[in-house]
Amino acid sequence: MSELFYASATRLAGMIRSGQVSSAEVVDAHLERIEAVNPIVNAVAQLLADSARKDATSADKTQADGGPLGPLHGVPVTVKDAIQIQGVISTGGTLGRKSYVATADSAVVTRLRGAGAIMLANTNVPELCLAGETASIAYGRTNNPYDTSRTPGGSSGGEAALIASGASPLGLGSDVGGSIRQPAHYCGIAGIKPTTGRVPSTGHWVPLVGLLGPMFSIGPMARFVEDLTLALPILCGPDGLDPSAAPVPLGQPCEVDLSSLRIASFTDNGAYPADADTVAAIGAAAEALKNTGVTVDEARPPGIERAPDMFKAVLRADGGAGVRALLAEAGTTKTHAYLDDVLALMGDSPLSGADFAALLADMDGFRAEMLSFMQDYDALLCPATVSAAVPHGEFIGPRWPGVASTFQFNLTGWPAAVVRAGQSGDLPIGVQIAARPWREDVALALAQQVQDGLGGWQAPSF
Amino acid sequence: MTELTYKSATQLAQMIRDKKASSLEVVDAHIARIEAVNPKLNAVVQLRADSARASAVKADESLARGDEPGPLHGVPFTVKDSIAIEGVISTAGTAGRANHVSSADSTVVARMRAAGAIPLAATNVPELCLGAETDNLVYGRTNNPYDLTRTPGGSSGGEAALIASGGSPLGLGSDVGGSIRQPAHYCGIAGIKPTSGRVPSTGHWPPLDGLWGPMFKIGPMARFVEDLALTLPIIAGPDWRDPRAGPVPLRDPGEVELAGLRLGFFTDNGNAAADADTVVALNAAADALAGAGVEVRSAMPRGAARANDMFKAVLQADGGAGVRELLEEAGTSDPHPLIQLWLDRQGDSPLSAAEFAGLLAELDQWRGEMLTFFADHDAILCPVWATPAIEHGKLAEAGWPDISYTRQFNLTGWPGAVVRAGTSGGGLPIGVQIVAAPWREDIALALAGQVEYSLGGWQAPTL
Repeated sequence: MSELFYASATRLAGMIRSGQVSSAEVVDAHLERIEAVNPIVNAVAQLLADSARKDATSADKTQADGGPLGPLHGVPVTVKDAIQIQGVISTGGTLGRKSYVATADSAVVTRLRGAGAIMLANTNVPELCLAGETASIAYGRTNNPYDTSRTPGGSSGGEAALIASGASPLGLGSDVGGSIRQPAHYCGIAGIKPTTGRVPSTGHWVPLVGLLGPMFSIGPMARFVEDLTLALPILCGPDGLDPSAAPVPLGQPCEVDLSSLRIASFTDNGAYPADADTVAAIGAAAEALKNTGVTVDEARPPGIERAPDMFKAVLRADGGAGVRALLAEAGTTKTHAYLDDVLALMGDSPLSGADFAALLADMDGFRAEMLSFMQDYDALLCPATVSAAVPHGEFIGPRWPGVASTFQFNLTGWPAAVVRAGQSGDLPIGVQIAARPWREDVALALAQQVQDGLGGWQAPSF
Repeated sequence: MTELTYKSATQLAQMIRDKKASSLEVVDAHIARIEAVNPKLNAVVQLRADSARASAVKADESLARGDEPGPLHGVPFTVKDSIAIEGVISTAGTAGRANHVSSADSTVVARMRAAGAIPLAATNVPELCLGAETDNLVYGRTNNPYDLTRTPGGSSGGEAALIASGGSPLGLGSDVGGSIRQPAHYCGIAGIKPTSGRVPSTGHWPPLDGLWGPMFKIGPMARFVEDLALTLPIIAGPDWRDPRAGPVPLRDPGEVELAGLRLGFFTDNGNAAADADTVVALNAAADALAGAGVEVRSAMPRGAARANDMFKAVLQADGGAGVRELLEEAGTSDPHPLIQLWLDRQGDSPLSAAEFAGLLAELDQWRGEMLTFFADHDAILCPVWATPAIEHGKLAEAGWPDISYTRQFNLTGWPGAVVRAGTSGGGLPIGVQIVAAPWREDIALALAGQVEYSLGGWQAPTL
């Protein structure tokens, strides 16, 4: 059975297309795997067993009838509980939306369905997707499959835990501070935050617009880098509704000439150095890339050390007013302790209008300074966070500034992939590869190379 | 003399390539024209006569050697006084920068040079580019070539007046509320504000970033639409400095099939109805496009009527702190009354941070709502301004609503072109605005080209 539930989405699609296996068999294998692992990881929020089986039967019939087969025909997929699926409860992790049934598919779900994929489940998130750990009052706490006393990270922690465990081959997360990359790292899978404007956000609740809009992107998560490469073209491009989505051509990772690439590698962003195991994983990834002809310099963008302060400034800009407005919109009166911690970090000293405008200009200055560094480098190799997965409840608080490792590329809006490159004891360690804006192809080609060189995802012990 | 100075930049480039005119002859003709018209217009603020002549001699030598010429080889161009040319005083109209010499070319000037073009002059702007009239305490007031008692508009008013008069074949303006389009309209020339993110802003002072960043764009201005189409690919694309510039492919207007395009047409956005002459010009443009097979429908984007309030909220968000900071950075203690008008409009009640964040979110929501218009339409035809050029100093009376036709497309970030389509009873030019879906400058320019072809476009002033 693990032949099915540990296979890549690319391979599953191939097996279904060639008739080696039916979509119904693939969906059933994943439903069984969910039954086996979800009691351990508690990652699934809403399981769509019946509709997934029905969709699989219908997909098999389409194929039997010689109908058109999309690139994900018959393959089950999952999305975090902030990406709305029509007819499915979508809470965004907040109690006020405990019974909220989405009235329409989000743009990315429509596109996955259009490519033949089958919606299998949505997965747990922290309240309003605002934490680096995953727990909600409605669905409880999600555990890391490599050590259940630890967090899978967040906010796309349900996705990462479920995918790492073989209960979903492919999922969608979203990332405004690291919410795809930090969970991917903590759970040893692959994920990419695309360039801001690459994938439309329509149908994501919470709506991450306004100040946070230029930092936010939906993106794919999977055990294997090739599945990110398969999924990204399906998700990207304007939808006529999200004003930030732009029609920039997407390059093919397989056409990237690795030997022509020059990358900068660093393990200390000037504010928070990574621990020894993380440094070792970065070193291994750098070696793997050098072996394929990539030029690797030890260097980091000047100014990047400002990222933690920028993060703090953005977090505190409105003194939590936006969060409170979302809670009011959702009708939430009781909040999760993690969100209370985040609200405490947001403080109660909002900026003046003049300071707010100055912050926007300062962010532009940071972006320009970072961009000028990339004239000489195709990509950056650096930690996803400063350590492997932490025990539950320990990411927020003293370790919170570690978010800067991912947040720096939300500020710039650049694409950034994560792939497993090492371990710390039994815990996986992923590395982060950020590329020039719009060059997801370069980030994915490099991540693929790290995976090929170092093995990438490893099965958990259950 | 007007044999050279009323030609398009495209024609001049061809004549130089074909050696029917030397670059030096072309540059000299424009310097002579500037000497003739500038005393009436006061549009040129820094003339690079000697260095432009030297560049022209080099361009002619390079051509004689058989070097491959760029698309604008040997053609002079001008820029507004907020776009840096290395070694040239760039004031942006503020007294504190009266002697500020730019240390480097702006990205767009560097790209124009690389295409073979020769920077000829910098042209007048209102202080900090914040005004729809062109007047400042450094260089004074610029006049409209069709009626010297009227303003050429602003902030790219010097460009528009000079180009309309044949003192420059091609210029670069910038637009955060209408500063390319309204002067183009007032002076009867063509211009386009490209999509936000199309052209890098590096080297523009004041730096219109932060809250203004998504609304601001540098773009070309010329007498002829073909020159906008020639110039846009030269200045477009990321420059490793401006984080907003994205590599979206730019398409060729020559390949746009006009027949079947769906055009939403309106003459009243609910804030300020266009006057009778403007409506006549718009109807003529609509008829011209319908004649080319364009499907013209009476339609306006949902949300367009809210644009004016939205822009006002953006303007008032920081209570003028940003403008005061720019004045301080420049070292200007005594700004022009137009700045006081601007500051008055900004008010002194900045938003709270919560309101500011709320405004940003509301803007995004509004942009999303506006964008749905393109599900059923390819472009929009509407006024640039409710009237032709106003008299000097009457901007305060014109008030908010008149500006609402241009600024709504700064808020959306969509490309907006202007081309002359008529004349007022008083002999003033009237341009129309043609707006396309984001990144579809090709459609805006193809439609503008058709209006120009049918209705004649630019007409020479009687200076």
